[in-house]
Amino acid sequence: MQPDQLILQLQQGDQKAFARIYEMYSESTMGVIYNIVLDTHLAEEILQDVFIKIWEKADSYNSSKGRFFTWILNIARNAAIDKLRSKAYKNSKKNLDANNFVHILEDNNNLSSKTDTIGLRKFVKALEPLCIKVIDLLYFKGFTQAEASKKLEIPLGTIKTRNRNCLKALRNSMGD
Amino acid sequence: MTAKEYIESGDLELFVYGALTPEQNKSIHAAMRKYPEVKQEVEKIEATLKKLAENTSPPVSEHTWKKIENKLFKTKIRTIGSKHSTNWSAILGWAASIVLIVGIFWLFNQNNAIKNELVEVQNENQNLLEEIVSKEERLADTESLLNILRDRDIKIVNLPGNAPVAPNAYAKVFYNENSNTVHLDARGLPEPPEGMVYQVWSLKMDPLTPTSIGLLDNFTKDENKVFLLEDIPISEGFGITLEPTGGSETPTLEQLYTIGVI
Repeated sequence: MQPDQLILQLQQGDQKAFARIYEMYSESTMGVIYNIVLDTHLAEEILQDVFIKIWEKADSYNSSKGRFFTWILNIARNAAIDKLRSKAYKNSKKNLDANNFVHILEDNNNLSSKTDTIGLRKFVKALEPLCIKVIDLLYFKGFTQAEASKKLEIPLGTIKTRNRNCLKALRNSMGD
Repeated sequence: MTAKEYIESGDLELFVYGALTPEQNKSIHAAMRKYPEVKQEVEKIEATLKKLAENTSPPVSEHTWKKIENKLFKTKIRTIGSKHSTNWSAILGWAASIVLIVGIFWLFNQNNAIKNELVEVQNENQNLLEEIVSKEERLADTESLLNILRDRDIKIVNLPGNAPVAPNAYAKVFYNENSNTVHLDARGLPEPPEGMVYQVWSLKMDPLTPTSIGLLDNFTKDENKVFLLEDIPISEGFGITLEPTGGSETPTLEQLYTIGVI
């Protein structure tokens, strides 16, 4: 469910609505940012910037152009990628696709736990390696189908279907 | 497209990723309004992805929200408030100083101008006063002269110009036998040349005896050209000659300007 009423209040400058939006979306947004920058401290800085932008640009969101979740996702991915490309991080050893969410799920013991991480870890691990790559690139890294097709060296026409099947598998294992 | 076709196309997943074109987004949005199943499917995809991201997120520090709040609301309110108050007092202060300085300059200039004006007026007053005094003096002179001329004992003697020397010259003598005085109106005489002076002579006729009765020393300076000569012997006529400065013992007849008899 998209919180249309809250979004409307946010757009009218309601600070309480903004606080509720933060509660609802901060963690997933942090996840997306962290998947790109792989640095907790830096990710928190970017998270602040993203929510400041959400407050300031709330007017520009229009439900006919897409989901509110997607709107935030775009802001977060762009902010994180911009930060990585910015001068300060140009020489950083961090590589955009050296890690994916599976590594994060496996490596990090500090992950937040709104849901059962251990359970999710199990389901994610059960995914085909290619599924992990497809979801990682399209969702977390914001690749286009064409970019993903080139990167993974699979035909452009199969990306969409494969992605759907992968997500479907994930949903099923998560008990959706 | 049917709802099923939408759901199976794989576009709904890409829609949530934000990987579709604006046109495709519009068409999905329309389909979501048209088919509740499509909307439900999109929401399920979104929930899954949200959960996936949440589970790969490190814990978000509680300070993060405080920092966002501070940056957006508290600091802004504080800076706006303090900015305004300091700006106001600073602006007022500067404005007041500028007004004060301009005012002081204006007063200073005004004061100087008034002082100058006062000095000018005082000078003017002084000049007017002097003029009045001199006019009064001249009026008194003129009145006393008029009184003298009106005296019944006065004899008026015309001294016409001596044709060979000064045909256009003339003079008038107001002779008072009782007081032995002569008032000579010499306005009709030309200015004497440098180093020369008019000498006035009293004449006795039989035999012709000239007696000097005075020099018109300050002829040039005197404005009304009326001269008072005193201790006049009994006279039957008067003559005026031009002599070297200091006068002569006897008149130089070649320089006889005017002459007349009673």
